[in-house]
Amino acid sequence: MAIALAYAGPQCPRCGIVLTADHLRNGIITCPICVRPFEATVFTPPERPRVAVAETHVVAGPVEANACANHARNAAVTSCARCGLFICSLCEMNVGTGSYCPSCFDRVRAEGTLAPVATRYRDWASIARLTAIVGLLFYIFWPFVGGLALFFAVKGMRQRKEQGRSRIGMAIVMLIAIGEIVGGIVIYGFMVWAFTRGIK
Amino acid sequence: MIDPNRTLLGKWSSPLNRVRVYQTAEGLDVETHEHFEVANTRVFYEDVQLVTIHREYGTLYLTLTGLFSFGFLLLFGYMATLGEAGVVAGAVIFIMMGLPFTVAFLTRAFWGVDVVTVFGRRSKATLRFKFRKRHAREVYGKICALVRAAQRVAFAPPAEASPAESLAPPIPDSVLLPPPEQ
Ligand SMILES: [Zn+2]
Ligand SMILES: [Zn+2]
Ligand SMILES: [Zn+2]
Repeated sequence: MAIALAYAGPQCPRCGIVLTADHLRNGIITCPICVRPFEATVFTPPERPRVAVAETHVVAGPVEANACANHARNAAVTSCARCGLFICSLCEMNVGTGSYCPSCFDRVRAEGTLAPVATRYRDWASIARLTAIVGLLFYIFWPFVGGLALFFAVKGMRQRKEQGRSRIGMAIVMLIAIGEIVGGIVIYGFMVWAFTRGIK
Repeated sequence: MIDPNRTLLGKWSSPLNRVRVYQTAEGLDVETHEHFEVANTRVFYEDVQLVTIHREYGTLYLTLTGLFSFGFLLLFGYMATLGEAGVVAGAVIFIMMGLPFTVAFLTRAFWGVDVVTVFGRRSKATLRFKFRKRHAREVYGKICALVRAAQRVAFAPPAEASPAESLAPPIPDSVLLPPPEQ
């Protein structure tokens, strides 16, 4: 969430201060605040026609709340699931699977893909990887960490498949997990064997 | 869900997160991996207002890696005074623990990082390049070209608009035209 939060248009890439229009030009720009140079290419996209909504409906919100990107006087109630833009309750287009800003809603509808456009999801693949690799250190618990890593890897595998990405990494994690399970069982077997021998 | 035709433009890892930036048909997709979560944001070419490139060295990065390598160097210097075994032990410690910081410090101090930043109306994307300076330039040019093309298509004036000449008022008779050349 934090990624889109503070964003308010073109900034100095070096210190993050928002640049006003008079500082935007092609070529080398020296930031008025941090006085460091950077090279820039400026574009002036015309305003996309906005969805007509009454400007007078002021939605009261907490004083420190973020303002709606389209209605400076309205407090934002959520952010667009696709572009992260802050939107007030007037702009919000909730389609059940998420809230969109008017322009993203138009796009999504035009594309005919009103499927949920997830902006945030759990990355099972990296969880599986970490479990399997850190698990290697704790050989006493191998069957358990191996089982856990295998469980995560199956989820990760499914996720990667849905995304159409390479599944080789997950296959390796699965092999490590199976190795941990088998190795752990061997260690337990050895311990039991050593223990029973000790009793005799 | 994920555009199969997207191409990876750049990736960057920091202790806090891993960022990948992809080029798609309609914009740049930014994929941020953070605490086992992935956040996707998008910068539409049509929305881009500013694209920048600069080289940075990172004061914090240089200070930290510099301090660590200097600390291990001092430790080595101290151990070297304790005799031959101290020199060996000190060297081993320095190579194992200090050298990575020294290498990181020197590469950053010499090469810096080239940063390409794309500012849209609603979102931004940052690409960082450590060694491939020419590639950074190319990516900068490529993004500018993609944005230019997308904005030309999206906001081109309608084709039926009348040509400018026909809108000019007719020349009044009182104006003396230069005599035609003979
Ligand atoms: Zn600045
Ligand atoms: Zn949106
Ligand atoms: Zn609004």
